[in-house]
Amino acid sequence: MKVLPLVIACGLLGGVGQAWAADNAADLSAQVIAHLGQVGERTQTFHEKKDIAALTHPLLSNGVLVFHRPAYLEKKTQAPRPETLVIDGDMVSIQRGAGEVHHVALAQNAALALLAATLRAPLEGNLPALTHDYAVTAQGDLGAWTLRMTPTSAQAVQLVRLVVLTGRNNAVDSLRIVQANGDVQTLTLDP
Amino acid sequence: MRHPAKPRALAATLLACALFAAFVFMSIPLRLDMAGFLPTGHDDGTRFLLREVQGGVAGTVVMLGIEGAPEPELARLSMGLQKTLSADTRFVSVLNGVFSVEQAGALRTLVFRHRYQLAPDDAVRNMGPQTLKQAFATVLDDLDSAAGPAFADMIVRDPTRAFVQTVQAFEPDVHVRVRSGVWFAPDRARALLLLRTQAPGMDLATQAQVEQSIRAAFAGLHPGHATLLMSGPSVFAVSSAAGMHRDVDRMALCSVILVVGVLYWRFRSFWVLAAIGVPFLLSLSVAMLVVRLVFGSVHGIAFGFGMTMLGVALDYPVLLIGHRDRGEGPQATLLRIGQSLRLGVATAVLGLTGMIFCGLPGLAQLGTFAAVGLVVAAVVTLYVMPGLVVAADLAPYVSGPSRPLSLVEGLRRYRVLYVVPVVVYGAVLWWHPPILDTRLAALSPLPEQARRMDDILRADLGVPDSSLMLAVSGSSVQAVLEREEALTPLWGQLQHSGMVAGVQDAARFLPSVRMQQRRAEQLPPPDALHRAIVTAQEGLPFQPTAFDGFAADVQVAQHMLPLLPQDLSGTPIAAAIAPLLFERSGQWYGLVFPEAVRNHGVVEQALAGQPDVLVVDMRKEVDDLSAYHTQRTLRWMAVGCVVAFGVLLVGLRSGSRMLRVVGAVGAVQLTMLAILALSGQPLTLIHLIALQFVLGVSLDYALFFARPQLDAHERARTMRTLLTCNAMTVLTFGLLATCQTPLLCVIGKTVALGVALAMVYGFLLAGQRPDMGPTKLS
Repeated sequence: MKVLPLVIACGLLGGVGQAWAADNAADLSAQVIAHLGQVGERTQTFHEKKDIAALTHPLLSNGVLVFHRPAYLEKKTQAPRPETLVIDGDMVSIQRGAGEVHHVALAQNAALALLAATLRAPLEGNLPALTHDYAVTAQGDLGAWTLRMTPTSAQAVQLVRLVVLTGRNNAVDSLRIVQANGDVQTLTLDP
Repeated sequence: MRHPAKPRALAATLLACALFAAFVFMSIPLRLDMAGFLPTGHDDGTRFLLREVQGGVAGTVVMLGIEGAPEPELARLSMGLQKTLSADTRFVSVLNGVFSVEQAGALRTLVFRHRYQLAPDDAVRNMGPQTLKQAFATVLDDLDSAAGPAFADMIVRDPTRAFVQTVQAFEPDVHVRVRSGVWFAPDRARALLLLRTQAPGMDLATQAQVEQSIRAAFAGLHPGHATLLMSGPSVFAVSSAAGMHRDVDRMALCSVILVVGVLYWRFRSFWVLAAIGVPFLLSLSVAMLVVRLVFGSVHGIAFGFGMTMLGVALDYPVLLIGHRDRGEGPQATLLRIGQSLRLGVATAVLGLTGMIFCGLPGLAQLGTFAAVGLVVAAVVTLYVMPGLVVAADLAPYVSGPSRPLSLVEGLRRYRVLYVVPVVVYGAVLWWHPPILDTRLAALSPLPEQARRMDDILRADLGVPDSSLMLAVSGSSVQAVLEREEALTPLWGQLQHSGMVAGVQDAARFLPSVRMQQRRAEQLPPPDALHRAIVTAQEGLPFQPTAFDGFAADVQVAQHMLPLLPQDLSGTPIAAAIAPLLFERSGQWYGLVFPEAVRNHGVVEQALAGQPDVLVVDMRKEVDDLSAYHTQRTLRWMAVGCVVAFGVLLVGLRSGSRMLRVVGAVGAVQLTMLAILALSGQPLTLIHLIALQFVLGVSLDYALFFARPQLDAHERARTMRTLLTCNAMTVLTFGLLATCQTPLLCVIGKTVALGVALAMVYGFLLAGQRPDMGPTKLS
């Protein structure tokens, strides 16, 4: 597992940036987030597709996503190569294969902090955490909604172009992250 | 109540003395730093390095530890401290494993740009098809990871990981673990931080403020049960100065109270106190003046010790008044005791030769202060006091024989039994000879516990303890960096054979221009790199253009201007380099600290013959110096003792009295040495000078005991007066034993015990009871 030294290296030189909240979320987005937050515990299978500009074909993977209150999210990739990403409180731990578990503090790594907020804050029903980095707009209705999150904080603008979350009532169907360089990561969740 | 005949002269003299003393005290400030107690080095080179280490940037390092709470809580406190303190301009850097925000962005860009010149391992510049193939496979795996997409650009642009390697090399060779994102001690739950202050380590006032703001910042984080540990040269300096301050203040107050208490109990007269105040004030202020003139300043320790010396210096006026019979003329008392008093002063001062001439400025001050105080007190007693005392008609409250005294005198019948403890102690010494400890640590004014804590934090944080260090010199920054790089293969060998764990020097953070150019030359030309990339990509799902950014970076790196120290200013790297690379009067110096040196000799030998490299083994250097000072002290002690016995021989003019005096004094020394040996404490320079001082005082007592007594009344006066003197000395030195400053504490313990023994042995052996039949009880 060699991406971790890089993550840690970036963390050494990284940090948290100042950001400002831009609370322009419409009523619907607030409703959707509140609904999501009512579910205290979830376990769902996910399929992930990464479209990376440098590669000729997308990278596919699948696994299980576990969330429970308070503030615990586990993304357990089962294939093609096992990997466990745990975001718990202010800490992230990553274990690739049977390798060593690496711990990184969110405060220490801006990119990971943003990733954690993007994945976890909607499930927590934590609107302030989202609006810290994003402007959130909603389309559709509670029965079938789409949340578009555009980065507003200086840090987020550098890392992400757009995040789109779709779902029904209090369930998330998919999560799409468009990185600043145009790479796209799509997470589809089985109901 | 007595009404002194003419106290006016006495009152006027006392007032004049008080004014003089007040003037002296106000015009001479006390020094509280420790510099005077540290050796300064035997040649220019060592002096330079010692100065750099003690007063230079190394002195500005503060090490923090936080413990006593669960790991995440400690991490929170560490991050909180880092955040608060990095906003404080008094700190040059605050490191806890997380670099602060403002510095990070610019530094990351700079390091990423220069990664191919900075990365120490040549493997990252090896860009053959085979190496690249492996590197690309790793890139693919990295992209596949959960964190991959967030770092995709960087991963693809740096397939050989030059950036990661550079950053890792920047990290100090700390032996810390990173837990919860911050530095932790390798073997326990203790979060660690490494700070550097703007103010020099010896700027005590600012350092005290710095310490306070660290504590305030910590308290502001609501640490609960967690505790903060602080160490570093400036922390030591501040705490020992504070301790010294407390010691000196307490000594000044308590010595006076104790002495006044004993004297009042003995004489029951404020006029006697006033009379004794004259030699007290004069000896203290003249001693201060002399020390100021000889040494240029007066140290707090010398003053504290000087206050304690009151217990001895005031013996002389007490002996004068104590031996006076009411109504006696000015010279009558002196006729009886003058000779013994002069001899006593001479021997007590000779007991200070070791201290005065040991060569350490701090101790020399103590000795000089004490000697001047004794002489002045004696001179005042001999030439000024008689007039004052007679005019005010001062004499002891009770004098003459009494029942308790005669009971005690009765004990002398069994005095031959004293042989028993003396023989026992002699045997103890024979089997357990005391060990002489000549290390500097023994002289250090720091408590043992603080030093141990410092060692542990230093080891964890990789802060060099400057035990072995090198100074590389050159005419320019680049010359110094190149010299340091030239030593790299040698360090490699030493590291390989396990002689050192690593090395800290400036070249590790910033390679010389020549080294950076050499590294750039290792990079492949554009077409060769292109071909290698194409070959390496075969069979891997990368776009043909995927590594264009990488290829472009490599090409730019070949023509890039090398990174210079000024390019790094304001970054944590510059903060790390500052103590390691500096200019002094036109010449550039680089300090190199080998870490965890196993065998100093081997390392020094390996470095022998290297040009422009000065190797200093600090501990050895300092221990050598300390051993030298101990030798010197021993020599001067011997001189002092020989002269003292010469003085006795001339003064006593009686073989049997001489024998009694020497017997009593010898018994005291033998007992003291045996007690020290039994307590398992090695003898240090401090013990030696304290023992010599005990010798001087025991001679003083023995002389008075051995005086040919005229009658039982005079014998009783001697007994009472010596008891008073002894009580003052034992009490004031006992007080000194409670000091925080280890130096004062050791002197206090040794002298208090020795002087108490001197009284007992002096009474038993040197005493001479007049043969006048049974004592008449009053």
